[in-house]
Amino acid sequence: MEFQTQPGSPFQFRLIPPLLADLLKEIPQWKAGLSQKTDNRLYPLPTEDPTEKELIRDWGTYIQPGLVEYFQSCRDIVASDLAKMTQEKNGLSQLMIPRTHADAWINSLTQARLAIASELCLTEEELSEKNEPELANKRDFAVFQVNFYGFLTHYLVEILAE
Amino acid sequence: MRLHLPFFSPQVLFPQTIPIVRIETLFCASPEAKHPRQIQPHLIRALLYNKSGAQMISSQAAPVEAPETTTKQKTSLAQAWNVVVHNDPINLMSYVTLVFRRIFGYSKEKSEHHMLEVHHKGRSILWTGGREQAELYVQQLHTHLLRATLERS
Repeated sequence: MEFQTQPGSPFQFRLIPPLLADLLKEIPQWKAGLSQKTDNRLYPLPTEDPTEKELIRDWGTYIQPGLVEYFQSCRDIVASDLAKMTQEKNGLSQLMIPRTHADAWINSLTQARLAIASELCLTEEELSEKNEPELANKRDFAVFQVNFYGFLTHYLVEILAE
Repeated sequence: MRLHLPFFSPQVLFPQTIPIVRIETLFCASPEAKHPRQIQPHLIRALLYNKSGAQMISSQAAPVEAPETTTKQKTSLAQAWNVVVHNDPINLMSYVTLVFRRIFGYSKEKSEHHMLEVHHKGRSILWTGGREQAELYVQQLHTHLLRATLERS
């Protein structure tokens, strides 16, 4: 898999193997609504003080719907970019991400990582594991997926931070 | 294609019923604002004070001739509030640093300092100040999928 970019140009991901292409296509599917655990992480409370009932109630009424819609709009942008991913005759894929979509991609990748980690209760130790994962193992595959999305996130963040 | 941020629309920000003492987060785009979404102080004063400068703090409908003023015992707006970011094992250090720079306008060094404090100590106080601004910051941090809360300073 190769990454290419020039200042002002789209991000180009080339020579994407089928497995990674499938993981990319899964990004918009990882979102809130899968379970209460994931919802609690994607929409955390604004306070740890349970007596702040009014703040908690107002947050759910006025802020959370906006977050829901914003997160959805990010995933929609990513889905539209993924729809344009092309596959070459050698089975490898190519993806172009406009620079203006970078924030949407970072947000969607983060949603996906948080959702996967919440659903499977992945630990920091598992995510830091350096040994090669056994992809036949569900948890190891999930760790691989989270770390792959993290790798893409880091790449986009580094470009934006320049 | 543009990112759609509907929850910044006036219809959401100015609901028909606005709590008197603690108001909803008010912000609107201002060309001169360092950050696109900053609280406009004159809007806060307009809601809390009438033209003569008397504080309008009644939560009930007031007669035109003699407006009632009843004080709700709520958290003082003058009290300082902390914006706290909490650790989680998913968010990348590079991403957290970028978010702090964007939201708070901190230098790279200061952002990294707070990021490392979150990483090593489990939490870091990113900002201290008025409640409305603290709520805005927490909202922005949640938009970036960071775990953040506000607490009394």
